[in-house]
Amino acid sequence: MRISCPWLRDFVDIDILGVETTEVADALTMVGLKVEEIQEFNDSYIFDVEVTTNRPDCLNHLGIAREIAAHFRLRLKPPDFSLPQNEEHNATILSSSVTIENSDLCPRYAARVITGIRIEESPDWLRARLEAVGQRPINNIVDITNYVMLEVGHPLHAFDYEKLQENRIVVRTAKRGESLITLDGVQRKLDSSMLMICDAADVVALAGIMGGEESEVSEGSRSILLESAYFNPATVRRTAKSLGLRTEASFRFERGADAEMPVKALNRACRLIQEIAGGTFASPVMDEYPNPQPQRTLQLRSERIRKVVGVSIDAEFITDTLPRLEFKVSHAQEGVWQVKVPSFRVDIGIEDDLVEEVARHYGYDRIQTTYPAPSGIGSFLSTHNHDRILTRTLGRFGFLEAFNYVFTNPSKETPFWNHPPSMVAISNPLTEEDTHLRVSLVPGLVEALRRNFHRGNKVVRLFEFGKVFTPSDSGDAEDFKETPRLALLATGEFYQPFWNTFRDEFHFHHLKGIVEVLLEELGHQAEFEARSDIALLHPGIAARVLVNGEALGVLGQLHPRLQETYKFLQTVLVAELPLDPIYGDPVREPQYESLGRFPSIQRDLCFVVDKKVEYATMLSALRELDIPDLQDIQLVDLYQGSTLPWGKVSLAIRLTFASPKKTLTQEEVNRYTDEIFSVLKSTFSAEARS
Amino acid sequence: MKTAPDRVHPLWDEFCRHLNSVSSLVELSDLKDKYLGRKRGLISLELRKLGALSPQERPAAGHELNELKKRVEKLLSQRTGEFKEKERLRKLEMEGIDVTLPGYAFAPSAIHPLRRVWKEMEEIFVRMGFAVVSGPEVESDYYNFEALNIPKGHPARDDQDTLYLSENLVLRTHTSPVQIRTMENQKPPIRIIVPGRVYRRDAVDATHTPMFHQIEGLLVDEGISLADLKGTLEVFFKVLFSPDTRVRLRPSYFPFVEPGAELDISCIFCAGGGCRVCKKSGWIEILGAGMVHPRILERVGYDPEKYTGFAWGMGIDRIALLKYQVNDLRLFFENDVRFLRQF
Ligand SMILES: [Zn+2]
Repeated sequence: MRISCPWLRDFVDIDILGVETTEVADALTMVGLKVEEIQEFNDSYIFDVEVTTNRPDCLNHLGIAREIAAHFRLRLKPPDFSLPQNEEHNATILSSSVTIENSDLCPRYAARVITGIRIEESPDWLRARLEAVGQRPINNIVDITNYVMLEVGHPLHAFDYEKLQENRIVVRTAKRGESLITLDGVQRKLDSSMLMICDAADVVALAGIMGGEESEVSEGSRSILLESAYFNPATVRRTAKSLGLRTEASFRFERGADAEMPVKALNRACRLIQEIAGGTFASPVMDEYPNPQPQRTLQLRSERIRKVVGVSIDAEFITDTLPRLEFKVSHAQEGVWQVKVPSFRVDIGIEDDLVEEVARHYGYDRIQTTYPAPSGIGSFLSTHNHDRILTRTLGRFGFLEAFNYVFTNPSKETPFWNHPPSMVAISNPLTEEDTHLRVSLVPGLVEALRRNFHRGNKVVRLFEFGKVFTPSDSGDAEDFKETPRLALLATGEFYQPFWNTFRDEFHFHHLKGIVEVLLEELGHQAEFEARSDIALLHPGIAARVLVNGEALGVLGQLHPRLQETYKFLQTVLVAELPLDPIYGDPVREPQYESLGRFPSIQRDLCFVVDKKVEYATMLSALRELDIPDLQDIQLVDLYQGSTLPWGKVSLAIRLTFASPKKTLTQEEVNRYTDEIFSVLKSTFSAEARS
Repeated sequence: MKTAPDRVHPLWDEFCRHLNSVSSLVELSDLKDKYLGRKRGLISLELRKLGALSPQERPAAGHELNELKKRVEKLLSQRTGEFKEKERLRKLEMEGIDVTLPGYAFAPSAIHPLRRVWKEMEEIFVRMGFAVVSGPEVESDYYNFEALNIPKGHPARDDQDTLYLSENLVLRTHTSPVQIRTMENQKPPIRIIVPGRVYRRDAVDATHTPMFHQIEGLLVDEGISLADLKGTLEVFFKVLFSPDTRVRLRPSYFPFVEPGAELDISCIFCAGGGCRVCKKSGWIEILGAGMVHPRILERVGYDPEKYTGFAWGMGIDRIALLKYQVNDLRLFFENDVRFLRQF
C-alpha cells in the first residue's frame, strides 16, 4: 500500500513533531505496519506499507494517520463526513430506489443521485495525489471515488444514472445465463452464487468488484448514481476468485470493509463532486441497512496483558491508548475494562486482540526479555543417530547429499518403469512439469546427474534422503503411503586422480560394498540376490538387498536403455533403500569382544571353477563345514581370461585360522585347508591351481 | 723402572700419508691389511721381530709398537665410520622424492548447506531443552488450515498459495500442523521444534522455490509470555550467528497467534549500520512468531486461562542463504557437485 506523506498531513500534523520522515516510518513499522521502502516523489515521500491481511482499516490514509497519531500522541483530524446539501432549495428530484434482495450478502447499500455534473479531467491537485500513490487518473468522477477509497478506505462506484433501467438499483444474485461485460471489456459468465448490482432488468455491476461497461460513467454522462455499500467479505472473495478478477475494491471488501462507513464515504465523495464536478443532489441519501451490526464489546484485564506480554503496563497507558485507536473504554473494576470495538476494526474479536493493541503501541521493543523456566531435557528424533551414521559414512566415501524436488510427471517417469507407475497427482499444479509426486528417488538423482554432466562434472556421487508417495491399490486418491527412502548414485573414476595409482571405474561391487557398510553400521547383515526384473537396472548387473530374508531395496547399474535416453556415456550405479526397516531398532552401543591371545595363520587357496558357480554359494558351503578355528575367508583375486578354459574362472581365497585356546600347528592348518579344498572340489568341481 | 721415551715410529708417518690418500671403503680395507694384516701386515711383522731383541730393549719397543697399533686401529675405525656415514648420506640422497608432488586427493566430505544449518539449528534448540518432532508432508486441510484458524475463504490463504492433492489434502504449507498434532496427544508443558519440508505454489526464481524447509517451535506452559519468546529466540540467534546479534520484535499478523510478531535480527553483514542486504535498515527480517491463539489452545483441550505459549516458524533455506552468503535459492536444489563440495 502506497501512502503519501503530504496526504497524511491532512489528518495528522506530523510536522509538529520535528522529526525526520524516517522516524515516522520506523514508528509505523514498530506498530505493525511495516514500511518496506521510502520513496522520494515530487519533493515529498511515499511510504510503501505492508498491510497484513487482518488490517483492511489501514488500506487508506486515514487508517495509517490514526496509527501515527496514536503512536505520537497527536490529534487525529478526520475529513468532513457531514451531509452536503444543495445550496438552492429548488433542485430537481429524480426518482430512484434501492432494493436489497439478499441482505446476508449485502448488509448495507447506500446511494445518492447527482445531476448536472461536468465530466472532465480532475484538477491538478487531485491528479497529483492519485499519481503519487500509483493510481492512474481517469475522469473527475472516477478519480473522486478512487480518492475517497484511498483516503478513508471505502470503495465507491458511480453509475451513469440514465443508463439504469427504471433508474433503480436491485441487489441480487445472478440468474442463470446472465452475463456482464465489465469495465475492462471482458464478458463475464455469472452464476447464481455471485452477488450482482442490477437495474430493473439487467446486471450492471459485480458487487464490490467491478462495474459494467454499459453503465460506465463517460464523457457524455450528465447524472450519476453514486454507490457506497457494504458487502459480505466471503461473497466478494468467492466471486472475485472464481472470475479471476481482483480489484482495489474487491481487495478491501474481501478483507472486510467498515459497515458504518458507507454513508460517511458517500457524503465525503458528494462533497468533493460538488466542489470539483459541480451538479446538484437529485435524491436524498438512500441507505438500505436492514440489520445494523451491533457494536462488539470485549473485556480487557490488565492481568491478562501481564500474563501474555510478560510486562505490567500502566492503566493510564491503556486507557489513553485505546481511545486514540477509537476504542471506547469504560472502567468495570480494578484492572478490568469494558472495551467497545470500532466498526472498522474487523480484526478484533477476543481479549487477546486488545492485549496486542496495547502491546504494539506500548512497543514490542520495550518488552524486557525473560526466559522460560527449564522443563525436561531436549531430544532429537529417534532416527537422529541413524541419519547421522548414514550421512557420515556416505561422506567418507565421497558422496554428497542432494536435495531434489518431490515433483515429477508421467512422461519423465516412463523410461524408468516397465508399466507407468500409479502416482499421486497434484490437483492444481503450477507447471506442466510438476504434476505428480515421486514414487522413487532415482529419477531425481538421474536428472541431477544429467545436469552435472552438462556442466562437465564427470565424477559424481550423490545420495538423497527423501520421501516417496505411493498410492495404494484401492484407487482412493486420499489413500497412499508417504515413506522415507535413501538413494545413492555414483559414476566416474573410483579413485581420485592421482599420479601413481591404478585407475578403476566405479562399478557394481564398489556400490555393493558401500551398501554393506551402511547397513552394517546400523547393525544389519546384508545379503544380495541377483535380479533381472528391475526395470531401471541392467538385468545382468542388479541385485536385491536382503536383511534377515526380507527385501530391503535394490542396487545395480542403470539400465542401458536409460543410459541411452539420457545420453550418458559412462556407466551409472544406483541404489535405493527404504529407511523405515533400516531405522528399526535404536542404534546399538558397540560391545567389546576379547581379542585372541594366539597368533592367526593365513593360507591362500587358488583354484579354477565354473563361472556359473556363485561365490556366495561356495562361501556358505564352507561356512557349513563349521570349522571353529576358521575365522575369515577373503576373496583376494579373481581372474577370467584367455589362459583359462572357456567358462572358467580362477579364484584365490585367503583363509585365516586362529584358536582362542592355543597356537595352531602347521599340521592342523594344513588339515583344515585340505578339508576346505576337498569340499570345493567335490561340490563345485574346483581344480587346484598353483 | 725407566720407561722408554715416546718416539714416533717411522711406520706412523708412512701410515698417515697413506691414510690421507684413501678415498673409499675398499682402499681403507686394503690399508688395514697392509698394516695390520695377520701375516704380512707391516706392524704385525714388526711385532714378530720383537723376539729378536734383547730383554732390555723388548719392553720399550713392544710398548712403542703396541701404541702404534692402537693409534692405527683407532684412526682406521674412525675413518671407516666417516666413510660409512658418507655412503649412508649418499644413499638417502638417492632415495629422495619430490615432496611438492600433489598428495592423494582424498575426497573431502561435505554437508549440504541446508542439512548443515538444519542440524546446527536443531542442536541449539535441543541444548535449550526442545524436543525435535516430525510429521507428514501431506496434510489434511484441517490440520494445515482449519485447526490453525484459517478456515476456507480466509484471506490468509492467499498468503500461502497451496498445492492441493484433493479437496481435503494438501502438501503442507508449513510445519505447524505438527504443533496441533502434538498438542492433541500431549499435555503441557510442550517444548518442541518441528523441522521439515514444506510446499508452496510458487514459481521458481532466485528467492522462491515450490519446496523449502522450516523449523517451527512451540512452547506451552503456565506463565509463558511474549517476553519469553523474545528471550528464547535471542539466545538462539546469538548462538547461531554471533554473541553480538541483537533481535527485535515487531507486531505482525498470523491467524494462529495473538499477539503476533515478526522477529528481526541485527544485520549480520553490517552489524546494524545499514547495507544492501538489510536495505539500509540495519535489520533482517527472519521469522514470524507470536503467542499461540487461545482458540487453538481451546481446540486441543488446553485451558487458555491456565496455559499460554509461544510459537514461531523460520525458513531453513533463508537462514542458509544468509549464513553462507549464497545469492540464489535454486542452487540448493540443483545438486551441482561443485556447489555441494563447498560446504
Ligand atoms: Zn546490513
